[in-house]
Amino acid sequence: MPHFLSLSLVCLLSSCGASTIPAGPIRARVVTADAQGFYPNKVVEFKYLQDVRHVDGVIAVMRGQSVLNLDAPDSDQISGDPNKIFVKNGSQVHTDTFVDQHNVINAKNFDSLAMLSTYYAFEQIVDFWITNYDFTLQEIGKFNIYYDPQVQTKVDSATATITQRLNASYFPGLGDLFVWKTSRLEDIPFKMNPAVLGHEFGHKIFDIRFAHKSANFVYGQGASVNSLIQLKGINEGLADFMSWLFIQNVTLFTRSLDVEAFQDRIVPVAWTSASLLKDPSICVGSFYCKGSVLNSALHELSLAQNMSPLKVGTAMLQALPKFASDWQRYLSSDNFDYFYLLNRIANELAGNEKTLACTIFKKWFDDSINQAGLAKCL
Amino acid sequence: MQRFYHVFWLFIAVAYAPWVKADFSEQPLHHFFNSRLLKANEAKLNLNYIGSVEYGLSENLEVGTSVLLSIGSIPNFLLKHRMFILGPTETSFTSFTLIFPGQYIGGKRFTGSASAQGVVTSYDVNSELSLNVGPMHAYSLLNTKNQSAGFGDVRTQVELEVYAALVGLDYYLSSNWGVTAFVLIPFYANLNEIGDFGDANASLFPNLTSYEQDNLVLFVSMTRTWEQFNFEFGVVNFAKTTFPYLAAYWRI
Ligand SMILES: [Zn+2]
Repeated sequence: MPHFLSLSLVCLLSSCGASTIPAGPIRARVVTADAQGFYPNKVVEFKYLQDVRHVDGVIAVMRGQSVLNLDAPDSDQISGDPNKIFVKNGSQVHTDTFVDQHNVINAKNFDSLAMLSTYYAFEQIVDFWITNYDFTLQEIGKFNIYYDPQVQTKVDSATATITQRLNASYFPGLGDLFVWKTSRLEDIPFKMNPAVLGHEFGHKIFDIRFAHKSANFVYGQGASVNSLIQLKGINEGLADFMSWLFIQNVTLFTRSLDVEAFQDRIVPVAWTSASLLKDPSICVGSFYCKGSVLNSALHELSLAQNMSPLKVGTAMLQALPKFASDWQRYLSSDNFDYFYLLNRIANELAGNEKTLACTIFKKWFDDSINQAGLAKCL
Repeated sequence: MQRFYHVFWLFIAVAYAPWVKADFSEQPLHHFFNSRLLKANEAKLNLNYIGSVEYGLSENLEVGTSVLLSIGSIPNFLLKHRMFILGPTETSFTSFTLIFPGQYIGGKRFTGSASAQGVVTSYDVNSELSLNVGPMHAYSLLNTKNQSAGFGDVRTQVELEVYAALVGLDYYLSSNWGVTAFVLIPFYANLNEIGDFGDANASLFPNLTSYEQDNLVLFVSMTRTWEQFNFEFGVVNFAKTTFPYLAAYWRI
């Protein structure tokens, strides 16, 4: 009898029923930075999310409590096999929400809000690529979003588990996205900034169209040290460009973390490939700096008269598989450079558009290797 | 320079110590790792590395502080409390606490505290030998704040907790020569760091098979007493390194 009494008391407090998700499209209150750089809390309608409690849907599922094995050898890291990459492959997440009088789902805590906001951002991003660039859900495939993952490493007899902050990442091979724990240093949390998530998803697009989802390809077996650096820069520059195609804002990512390395990625940058080569200290982001020259060139081309972001984005996507064959052929060369990609993109355009592309590419890539490589562009 | 001071104190000690027949039975060896207390109103002035002053408030309670650390504006507090005497055993609580109100060490500002405490039982095997055993615990919580280019103030909080077993002895070779030896065997240690760039947690002794000699703290010393004046010399071994230990103190 006393048990029954305490049970009824709990019922009084929580109305004795799971909060029922209303029928029809899922509407929830999320936080998202908009293209103007504002950071509103707004009610949105989900298209792909099916299970609010476990943040699971058509395009992706969120996973928590995962632990990456930092000591796994490279061959395991690029295997794409979760059993070799993780110590713990994570488990279902649980959001705590309530439904308000307008049938809108509201998060009860930061993590629930962040998970729904992150999922919504990826919905927008996936939809952008499907609507404008003819991607299909099948080609993208359902992916995992690892929420606040950890990494583990062994030092002598001690096992250290580290929760990285201040980042979001894409894991080639695995094909999954990681949103790391929010830091006090972040203004708009990375996981709520669509420009940051758009960049990470750009790596996924690159992985699909360039590497055909093979991490081995991106890491390039037999590639020269120089080739790998160039490819990393290309990958980052294109990811920034793809983020811009989606969000149409060149500074939004700095709203999360306004540091020099981020400032240096705002396009158009103040250097060209030759001036960067001459004085690498003009930019702090190592290979990102040359990637930003690529982003600047594609950005300028997109905004040129009679051109559009859609035209340049389409040419870039069509060029990627062809650029992949260049990579396979020349990756061991010490002179592998951006001109392979630039020529492929220019060749997807015709007439005046191609001439304009070549002119802009030659202007940004004014070092001797790329100038020679772009000689036949026109 | 430190070595010079030790020789200096030794010189002072030999020159001025009253050469009276010493009596360890009146003043048994007294240190952090046994249960012995100072008598009521007895004071101990310790001229070792940290220059401490200890005082017997009553038969069962003594307090102390390290003067040199306090001058360096790190308030600290030593406390020893006799819990009970049962036959040939005596059990005391012993603790030492350091407080960092905002120290600058290596350009970083530290706040927090560190403490070590234990419950030590001393067992008199006979008039020459006592064994000292008991659980020991150390805990520190330090917050640092330093400037990092582009990020402004970057904060880190480090929490370290260690549990160890104490096994030691005090042995009286004669009425004025005594030996102190002990080993601290850590059996659980956890390091927890929360920072703006990331959090880390490390279990330093994850299982009983991982004991290695360099995890232990070994201590051996000899004390010569001239009634009120005592001189102690010995070695500490920790993490594969041996450090000399020297102390000189008056008990008045
Ligand atoms: Zn990236």
